[in-house]
Amino acid sequence: MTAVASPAVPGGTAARPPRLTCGRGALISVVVLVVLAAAPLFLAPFATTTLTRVLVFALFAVSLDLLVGVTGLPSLGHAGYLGAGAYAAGWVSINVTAEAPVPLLVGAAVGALAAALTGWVTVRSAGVFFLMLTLAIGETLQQVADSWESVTGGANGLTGVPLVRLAGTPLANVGYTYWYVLAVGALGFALVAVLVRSPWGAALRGIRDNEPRMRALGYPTSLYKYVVFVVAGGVAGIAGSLLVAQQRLVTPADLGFLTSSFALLAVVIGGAGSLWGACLGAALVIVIRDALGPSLDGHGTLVLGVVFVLVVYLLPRGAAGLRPRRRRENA
Amino acid sequence: MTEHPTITRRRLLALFGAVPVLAACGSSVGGGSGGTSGGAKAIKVGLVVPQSGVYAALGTDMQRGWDLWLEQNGGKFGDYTVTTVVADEGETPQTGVPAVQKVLQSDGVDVVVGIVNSATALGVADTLKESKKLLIVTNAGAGALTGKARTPYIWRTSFTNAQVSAAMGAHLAQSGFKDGVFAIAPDYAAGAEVIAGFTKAFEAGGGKVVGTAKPAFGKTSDYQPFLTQIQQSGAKATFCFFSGSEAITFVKQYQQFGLAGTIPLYGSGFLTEGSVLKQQADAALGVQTTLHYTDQLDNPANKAFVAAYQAKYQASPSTFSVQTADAANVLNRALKTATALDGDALAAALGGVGAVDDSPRGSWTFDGQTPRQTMYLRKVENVNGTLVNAVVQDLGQQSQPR
Repeated sequence: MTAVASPAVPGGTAARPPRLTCGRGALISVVVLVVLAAAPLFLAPFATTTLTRVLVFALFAVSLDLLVGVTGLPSLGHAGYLGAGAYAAGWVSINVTAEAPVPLLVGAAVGALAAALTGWVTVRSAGVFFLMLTLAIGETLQQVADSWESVTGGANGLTGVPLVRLAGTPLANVGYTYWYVLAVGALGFALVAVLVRSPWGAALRGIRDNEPRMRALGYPTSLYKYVVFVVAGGVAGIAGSLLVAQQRLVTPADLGFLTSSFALLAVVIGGAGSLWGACLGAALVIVIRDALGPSLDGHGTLVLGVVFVLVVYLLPRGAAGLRPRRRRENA
Repeated sequence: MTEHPTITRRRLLALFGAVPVLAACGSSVGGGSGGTSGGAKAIKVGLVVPQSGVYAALGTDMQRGWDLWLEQNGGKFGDYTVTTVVADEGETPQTGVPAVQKVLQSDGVDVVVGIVNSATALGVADTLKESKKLLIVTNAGAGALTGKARTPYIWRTSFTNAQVSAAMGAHLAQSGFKDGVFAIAPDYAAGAEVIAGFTKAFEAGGGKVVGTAKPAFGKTSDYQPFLTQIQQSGAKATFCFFSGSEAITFVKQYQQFGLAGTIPLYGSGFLTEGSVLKQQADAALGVQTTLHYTDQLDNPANKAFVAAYQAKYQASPSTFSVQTADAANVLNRALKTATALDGDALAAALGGVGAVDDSPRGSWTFDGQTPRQTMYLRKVENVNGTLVNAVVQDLGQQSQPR
């Protein structure tokens, strides 16, 4: 797990991926992937379903981390793009085809398009203003989902989404769906990880740390922010298409404020800027909300709140913040 | 509550998949066959009701209705000993769907009972179909559930949105309001269904809707602009549908605005049902609504139910309690003839249940998997210092409008 993360340690240190860690990193990520791939062979259906949800939410959290942790743009409306992708993928699956890459590509395209249409307003602002603008956009998108009944099904949601089909065969049980979500999720994660490691990613971190200086150096920072906003929207759209593949249902709640804030919570728990941290955070959020929550007598959200407070006080840099200390001890 | 939802070590382990060998067949080889309770006859029921969020009060009433019925019947459906697993539905399908999946897949229940949110009920249809398990909806009122999205695995003991409002539409058309009613309901699926059901029945009776308004759902706290609209529309009466905190706000503002005296307020029964009535206080006096139940019903079954409920919980039952108690009632009846506990066998048995003649709401039957039941015209009155929904008129048996 640790390894995939090496590119994403926050701050200037992120730019040093020593060759040694790199090799070890690759090895560990392969091991993690193999374990994840083998999981449904050993897990009961509900555990597999929960793990599928974790993967979907992890990819969503990673896309948000690209904005929050890497570029320093704290968004409260990111679920809008997840939802846009989910509705698009669901609609295409019902009305056109559920054949594998189609809903996925449509979801990604619509997520990116929605981000492209709204991003030119948001990226001109920063800090609290960015927060409020994205919140407003998220709420607006939710309102659209709520009232555009002929397409979205309104408050009752878009139901009856068929199973994803791969080469004509429907992925007829939770295990196959899990593998589909895992494969796409891993690709999405890899895509974001590569972007974050690239010079472009370094420029984004530069913008996060000191935007005026980056501008003085000649970087068109607004353009950089716009592009990362659209990319994050596209990845969220992919996560949306996976969401609909898994739950075969989209409702306005999926693009609501609560979903956005849960994703932000996952990023903070994991440590903003660390992609694998965001995945761990997402796992924690989903396990508490979906697996433990139903049996907590209605106190699921309370537990999440307590976890959040504890993380902020005990792990100011999230789960990712644990790592350097441990390494020092080892060394 | 039958099972205490503490986080046991086993549950934690199960969560993290540390008990894989038990389910070695795993998910990739086919659905787990939960609920194979061998030996003595037993049935495991998943009660999925909201314990958190805006519907938590409904969830409490529902669980009380369920628990009370079981307590009065020795915790058994005929020969079957009942085990109840309670799960929190929350507010939206985001929490509701996983909760249903959890009781089905992880707890291995035979039947699921509950569900307040229509989107959640519609959203679990596929899961139920695949696991061939039965869901008895004890609140969610979307017409589609037993209409165009009907599956044999979803039955309902509550109502349909349009059924309740159609009764009022027909009544208002016959009682001197033909030439003008203003209809208002929040802008979401249930609101639209209520208004559609009302308008259809009202117009069929020769009535004319002079105006409609759709305030944003869950975001409106000031109804003045809409009240002005009603005042200027020349309406003789107002028909509305609100529930929860919106019902409290609307009824209070309607009275404060001075409309209550000039344009009488009518509504779908949820406007004044359950805990909201106490908070609406005197503003609700005289408001008339239609519903399939009120704790004031004068029949022996209801009197016994209300007395037992009040003795146990120091509160009056609501329609939500009755709907859930009736789910236990019909399961009890179905299990007398059911050959097995899977969805197909139970659905077949439910089809043969016939009239449920000992329900507190009066006798009712399944018609297309949802109740055909008596609708009552109710009026909020002050009886010995307590506000109640007194019965004004019996509007006859009605099915889900098609």
